[in-house]
Amino acid sequence: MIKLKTTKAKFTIFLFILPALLLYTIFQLIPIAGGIYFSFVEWDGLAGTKLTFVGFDNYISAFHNKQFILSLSNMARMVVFSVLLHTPIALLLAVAVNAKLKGYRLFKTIFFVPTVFPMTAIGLMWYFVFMPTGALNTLLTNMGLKQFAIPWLVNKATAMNTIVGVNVWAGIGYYMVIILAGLTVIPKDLYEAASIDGANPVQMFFNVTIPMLKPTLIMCIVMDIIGSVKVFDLVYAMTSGGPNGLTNLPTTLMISEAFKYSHYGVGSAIGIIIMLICLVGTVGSNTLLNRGRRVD
Amino acid sequence: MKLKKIAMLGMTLALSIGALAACGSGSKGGGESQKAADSANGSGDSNEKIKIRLLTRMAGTSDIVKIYNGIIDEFKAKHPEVEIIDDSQGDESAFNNILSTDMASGKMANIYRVQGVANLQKYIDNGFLLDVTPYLEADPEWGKSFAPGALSYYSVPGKEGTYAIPMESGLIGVYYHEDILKEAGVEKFPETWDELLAAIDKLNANGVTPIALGESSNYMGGHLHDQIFYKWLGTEAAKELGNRSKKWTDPDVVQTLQYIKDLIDAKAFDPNAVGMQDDVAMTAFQNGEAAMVVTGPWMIGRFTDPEKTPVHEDIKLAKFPYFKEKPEYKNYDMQVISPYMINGKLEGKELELTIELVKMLTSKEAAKKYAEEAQFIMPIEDVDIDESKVTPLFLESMKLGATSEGIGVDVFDFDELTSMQDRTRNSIMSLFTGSSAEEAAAEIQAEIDSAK
Repeated sequence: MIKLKTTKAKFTIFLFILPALLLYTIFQLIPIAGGIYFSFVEWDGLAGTKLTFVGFDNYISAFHNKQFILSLSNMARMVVFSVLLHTPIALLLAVAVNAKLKGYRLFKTIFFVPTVFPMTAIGLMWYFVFMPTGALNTLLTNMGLKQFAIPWLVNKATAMNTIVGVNVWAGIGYYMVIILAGLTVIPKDLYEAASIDGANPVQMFFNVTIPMLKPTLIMCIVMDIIGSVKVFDLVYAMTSGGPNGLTNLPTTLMISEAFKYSHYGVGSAIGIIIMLICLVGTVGSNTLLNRGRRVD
Repeated sequence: MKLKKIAMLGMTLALSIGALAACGSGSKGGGESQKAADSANGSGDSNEKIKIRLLTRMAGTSDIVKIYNGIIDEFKAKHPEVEIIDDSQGDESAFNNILSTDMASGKMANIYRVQGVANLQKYIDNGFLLDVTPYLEADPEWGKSFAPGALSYYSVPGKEGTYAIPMESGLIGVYYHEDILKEAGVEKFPETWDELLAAIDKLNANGVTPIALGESSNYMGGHLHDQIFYKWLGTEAAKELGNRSKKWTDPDVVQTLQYIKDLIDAKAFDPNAVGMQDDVAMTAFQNGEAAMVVTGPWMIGRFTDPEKTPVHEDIKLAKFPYFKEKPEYKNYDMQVISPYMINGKLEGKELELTIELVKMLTSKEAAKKYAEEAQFIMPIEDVDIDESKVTPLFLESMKLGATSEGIGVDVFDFDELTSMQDRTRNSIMSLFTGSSAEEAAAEIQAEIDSAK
């Protein structure tokens, strides 16, 4: 630990931090402050018109909006399914790849490929698969299963679940690579010791691999929660939040409220609510992470 | 060591100042350093280019856009001192995003367009719109060339003057394949609603999709409802919804939504229509897989192009069928009217040049070119169109458009709530996914009530 004895040393450090601090202030703190301010005023989106302070009215209005409640429920579904599926599947794939069986490099690449593509491209690709006359329905029809060919992105029962499924598919490779990195640093001695003690591969997985990966897994879960709350591009590319708001997330609704309907106050309030959800998610998961470290 | 430290500190400071300077230079092109560079290039302040920014829907590769671009190029050649920045967007959503950002920042394009007329008063008060009356009067040859109905559409109650130059007009009607109707036993295009339902039954029995509709692009259902609305309630009812003297939940308005439900129940559309994009539906019509489509004159060019429409020869145009119970609204039609609006804050040479460009874009020569080369109708009278150069479909569109006794654009055009475009179209779409007419109407009315 370096002790900062002199003011000069502190000043030096401050100067080094300054560029990053300036960028952070300009591109993060000031917009956040602006967002908080706009969430408490009413403004019709026209330059030069009066801004009226309305207190918490925009927040109340957001929570009275059925579309916003639906978007929160969609977001919850996105978070729950992402967390439940991303990390466990990624873990299994990472363990399989780490076993370095024949052709593991090819599989590693295949699993990772979706991560390389932009989300909008992934959204469009899956849109063409799920559209009424798309690849999936054509396949089902040709297989004589026409009764299962439904408008996947329109049907109330399938629209949001389809998008959640695509989001899970698109994210697995990313988490697999993180877990794979975690697997490579687990000391081999531990497996040898477990083997000498008579542990079988399943026991080694649960008693060595999982405990040693705990910090990595918790980090994956934290990132997954925050990432799922912030999903925007995938929904925008696949359905733009439609039909009739069925697949809206708070992020897509925020854009519509602010820029389509000129409800800048409500749009900003939704933005701040998203930020608070992310904050709670981050703090909550960090608490979990720290608890994990203490146990270790 | 000390020197190294000082050098690093210096570099850090330079980076910080550099970052700030970059942020501060804004959009004016690099501040002092840019000015110095300009000066070195011999383009000082006195020679600074006047910038004219356009934000229209004229984007893409269609013949219409080619003519528009040609006029812009002509203007550029005439005025090399002017820099044209064309931010026009074909996509409605992208266009709306740029427009709302411009309005929020107050940096309006020189020439732009706004959908609807309900909010014009607010825009005038903010100085976003120029009253074009003096310019129309100063150049009578140009000013008196516009169809009076189209020009008066942009007169705003409570404000004197005219606040846009109309640049597009035309009937939104039903384009149909005459042969396909005849093959199904429909000898004459249905004139009334009951005849339409009977024709739909016959077409279904013959294995043809009666009406092409891609409701994933929800404007298509919206336009269909507009047609039904004007034939059932007339155009004034849309204004009454806008000024709140009428409600969406009023039984007669609900009935207009019920008629869409009736069409769905009559299997008027492809079973996949709800998840289909507009271009897929249009292609089905162009390939003769669907008998009818509700659309506007902007499609005539494509419908008459043998390469794009293999069965182009039998395509005809008719007005949307009227209701026998409401013969008074037989000629109350949906028409498209699109404007060029001019930024009200322009002055001096910039204003002068902007007006000149608008005049070029809406001249009789431009109207002739648009008509003959792109089958595009401008609301300009006495244009000497060479009939041998235009298609019968185009002439029919002009002829039918001239018979309208009442003209409405989208029903929500008269509503000052900007969310009504999405709300009405989304609720109309919900009719395709199981909602009842009453539920859709309640959903739309709730949007209005919650905004109070």
